[in-house]
Amino acid sequence: MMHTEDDRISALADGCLRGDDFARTLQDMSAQPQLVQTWHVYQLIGDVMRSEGLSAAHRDLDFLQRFEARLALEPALPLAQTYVSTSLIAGSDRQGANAPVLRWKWLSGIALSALVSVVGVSLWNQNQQQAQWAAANPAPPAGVLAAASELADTQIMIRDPELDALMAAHQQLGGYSALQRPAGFLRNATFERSSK
Amino acid sequence: MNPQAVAPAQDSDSLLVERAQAGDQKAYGLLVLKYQRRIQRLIGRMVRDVDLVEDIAQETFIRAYRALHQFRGDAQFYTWLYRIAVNTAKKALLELKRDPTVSESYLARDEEDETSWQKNEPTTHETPETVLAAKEIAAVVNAAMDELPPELKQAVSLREIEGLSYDDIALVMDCPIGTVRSRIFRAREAISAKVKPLLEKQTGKRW
Repeated sequence: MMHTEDDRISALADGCLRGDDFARTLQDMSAQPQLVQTWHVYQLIGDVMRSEGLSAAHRDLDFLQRFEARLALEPALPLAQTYVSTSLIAGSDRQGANAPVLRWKWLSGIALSALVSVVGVSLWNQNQQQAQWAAANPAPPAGVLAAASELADTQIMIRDPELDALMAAHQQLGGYSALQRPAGFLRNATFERSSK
Repeated sequence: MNPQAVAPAQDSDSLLVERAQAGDQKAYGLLVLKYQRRIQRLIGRMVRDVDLVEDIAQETFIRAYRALHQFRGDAQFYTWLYRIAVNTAKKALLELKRDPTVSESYLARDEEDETSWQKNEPTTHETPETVLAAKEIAAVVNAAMDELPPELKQAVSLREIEGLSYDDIALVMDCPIGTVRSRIFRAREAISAKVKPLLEKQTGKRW
């Protein structure tokens, strides 16, 4: 059934407009100021039915006009933390790139195959290069390694007697508390009297 | 008329609020148009200055817009807006070092229930012209309601005064939901046809 614009505004006022009708009605109201006036009159009627104290309405549209001029200077709203129904956003019927569309399936398959082949070829190349390097540089004979080990064992350490004496003196004083000589075998101990 | 009547449930706002949160300023404008009378009346009880009432109402809606992304729908939109209006008015009064027209005790009680307002209570932001204009509109709406066929009058009353949903009205009136929607719309159209010429006369604009 086809509804008129005013009929849809009436349903909108009652929160009974959904989907395409909702989006279309808001679009129409943005383009046609007289539909906003209809919305205003419907709201006014409801207010007056509930309370006669709400019947002063002659400046309502001026109020809105002033407000809209001020609102236009406001920066864009931050993203709402609440759930915003995607069905309400204009143009939300567009298909996403990850929607199950055949061309995207093909594209993702080809991309995956290309990636696998690039990684495979690079691994194969790396193995080949290692094999060639090993062939060109044979391992050193066992005698060379043994001689190097002996040389390390016979190295001479040069010591300074004054430095040795100084270090020995510090070792003797180091670790001693100013109050008490620490026990070598006891680090932490507490004594608790029995509560009984 | 029933000044003590409970306003209809504000579920009708949720879609407009979502749309406004998504950045649609026109949708927010519809909410402003819907609630600005109630917000101005609320502020008018706290502030003497006629011009200040409108300024604070504007500030209220701007603040609400800035905070709109924080509105999670836990409370009704109007309840949330109401708190912002009260806080904005109090802040404005503090800044201007003016005394509110009502005591703090009255304000606290009033915050609990907006419908506690009595129609004979003086509202300081009214002028003789606005009082007369408002009375004319109320009289026209009342007269138009009386002229409605019974089924239209019942449908629109159940919706606007009792706050019933279309489903509930369909049950009460024993008719399909589509008929409920149609009856409410026809009732509004009939009343609107009487109100629009009056608004045209009062505002000097074409309606």
